[in-house]
Amino acid sequence: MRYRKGLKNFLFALSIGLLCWQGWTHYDWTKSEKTILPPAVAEAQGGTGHPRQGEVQMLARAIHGESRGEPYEGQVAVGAVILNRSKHPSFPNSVNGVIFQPGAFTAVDDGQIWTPMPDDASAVKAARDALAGWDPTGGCIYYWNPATATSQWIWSRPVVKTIGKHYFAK
Amino acid sequence: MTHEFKEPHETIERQRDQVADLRKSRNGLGFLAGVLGVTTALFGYLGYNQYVQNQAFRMATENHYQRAFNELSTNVNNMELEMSRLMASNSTNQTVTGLTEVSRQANQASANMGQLPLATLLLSRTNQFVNTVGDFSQNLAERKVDANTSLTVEEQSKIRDLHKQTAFLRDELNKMGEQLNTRQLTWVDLQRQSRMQEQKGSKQQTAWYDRLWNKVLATVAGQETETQAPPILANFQFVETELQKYSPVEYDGRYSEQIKITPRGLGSGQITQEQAVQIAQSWIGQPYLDGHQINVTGEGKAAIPSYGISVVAKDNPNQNKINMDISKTGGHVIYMLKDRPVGTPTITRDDAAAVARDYLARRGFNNFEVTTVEEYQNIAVVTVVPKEGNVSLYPDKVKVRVAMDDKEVIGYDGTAYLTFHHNRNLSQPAISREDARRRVSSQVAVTGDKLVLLAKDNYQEILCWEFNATRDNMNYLVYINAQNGREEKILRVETTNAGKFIF
Repeated sequence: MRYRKGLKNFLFALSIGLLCWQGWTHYDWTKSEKTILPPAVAEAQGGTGHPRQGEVQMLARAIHGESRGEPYEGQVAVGAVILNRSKHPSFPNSVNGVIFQPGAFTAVDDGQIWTPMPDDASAVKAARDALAGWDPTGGCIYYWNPATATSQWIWSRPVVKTIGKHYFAK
Repeated sequence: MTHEFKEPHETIERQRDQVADLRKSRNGLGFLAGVLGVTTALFGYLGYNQYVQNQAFRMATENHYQRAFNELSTNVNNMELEMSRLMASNSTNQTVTGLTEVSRQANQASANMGQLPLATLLLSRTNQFVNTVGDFSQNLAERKVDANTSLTVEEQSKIRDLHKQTAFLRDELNKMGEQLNTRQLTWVDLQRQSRMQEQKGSKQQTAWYDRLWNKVLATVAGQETETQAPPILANFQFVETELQKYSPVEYDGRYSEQIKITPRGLGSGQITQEQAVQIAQSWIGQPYLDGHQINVTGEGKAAIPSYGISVVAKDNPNQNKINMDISKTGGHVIYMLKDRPVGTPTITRDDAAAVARDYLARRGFNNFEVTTVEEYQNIAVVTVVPKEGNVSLYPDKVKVRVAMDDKEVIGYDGTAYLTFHHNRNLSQPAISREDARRRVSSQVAVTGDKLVLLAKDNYQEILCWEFNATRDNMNYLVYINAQNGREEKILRVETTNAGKFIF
């Protein structure tokens, strides 16, 4: 009987383990709450190119994934860097092109941008403000966290500004 | 001997116990073996499942990269072909067709290159080359349409130079394509290798266990001694260094290296940190500052060098924080942002526009005109532009962010104003309002007009007549050059419940 009980416990533990594993591997990380945003973003006359809903949403997601927990100014700054890249000749020339460039953003590579984001997340506001023109970085196209940066090259860039945990550079 | 006969039952019992023990332990062993067997089988099955799944994902990723690479190669081959045709053309129609096609292929090449795992290589010049060729060709095509001529000698020589670089890029891409084919290289492996290399070259800022893990990974994959970039990626690095030997094409467009914007609205005189604090104080206003602490947080070295200022409540430094940047030259507020939750709106967008105008007027900005009000999350972003005489100066726009619950201004952005605003001494339009009006399509109904200053991609400014026009319930802004009558731009205006949007 003792062994039966042991077997039962073991099988129980095994099934829990299996469930966890299967749950982990089969969890759909792309599933998340829908964020509803107004259709587009206004820009003063004379501006070029206007971000559409898909761009606003992805920008908000990228900010959320990359700089959650940073001060608000730092979140707007991350959004501004993405927008600055989309206007810079050395990068893809669309917001989504910049965000999804393989290896460009950690949060995109590890899927953090797909974590659920509430409608009233500050990242959504930060995305809109960055699109409206606020750029606390003054035109930067790089940023990194000095504590976790993996690229050596990045240290060769002259730091323009420090906001929260991030260094911003041109 | 007697001993044996003395307690026979005890011996039997002992033996029985021993047998039972043996049986028990054998049962135990059997059980353990069974469990091990089942577990091995299960994990084997799971592992296999994971492997199959992993292979499928890997393949999908690999196919995506292969598609992007082959498309990139095709695009660059086409760019080269079209440029060579341009070099033999003597008509406007073939020139414009060719230039447009170069631009189209270059744009696609840029998009495809952006989908390859090359970001860590920082191929800034290669990307820049492709994007600049695209913009240069588009820009030139537009000018050739206006001029109705084929390429000039100078333009021909520029195309010839770009063609040489494109041919080099094409040859290198073709070589890489061959390598990928014959050496059975996969992008997924290349990506993994480059990632490991990047980590190896990184500063020792990671935790010791991370470093150990990376070392184990590298050893297992046999990458310990490799210092050169993996094939293909090394080829891209070679392309990057080769292209750097050419000087970027000189032209008058968005990506032109010749464009150097020096801020024109700063005035002169350097300010100290103390003065920066004073400027921030007077901008925010003393009543608000009671119970708040104002600090210099740092310095910015951007196009407009600045002091960073933060204002926080003494009793709650993490909430409702205000951040500002004050320019070192002239002591102007570059931007201000206050982060706070905003409740249900009590004012309309028009009220918000009035709040913004009042806010600016009290800070010495007069003769401003509201162009758009955008609303999101109970916040209104009001765009205002200054006027010189009766001309709206669009390049010098200022943005004001108004909380729609209590009319508080929680954001200001004067970057464009400080960068572009100056006394322009605009000349009178050579084309009269009526003349310009006649150049607007007869298919639209014109409902209004005004004189505006418009900035092009290259920041060149043009004086235009702006006409509000409608057709089939769609609204437009049509811009007619006030000096030569050229139709410069057509924008769509959409009015939604979140404000007026201009595309």
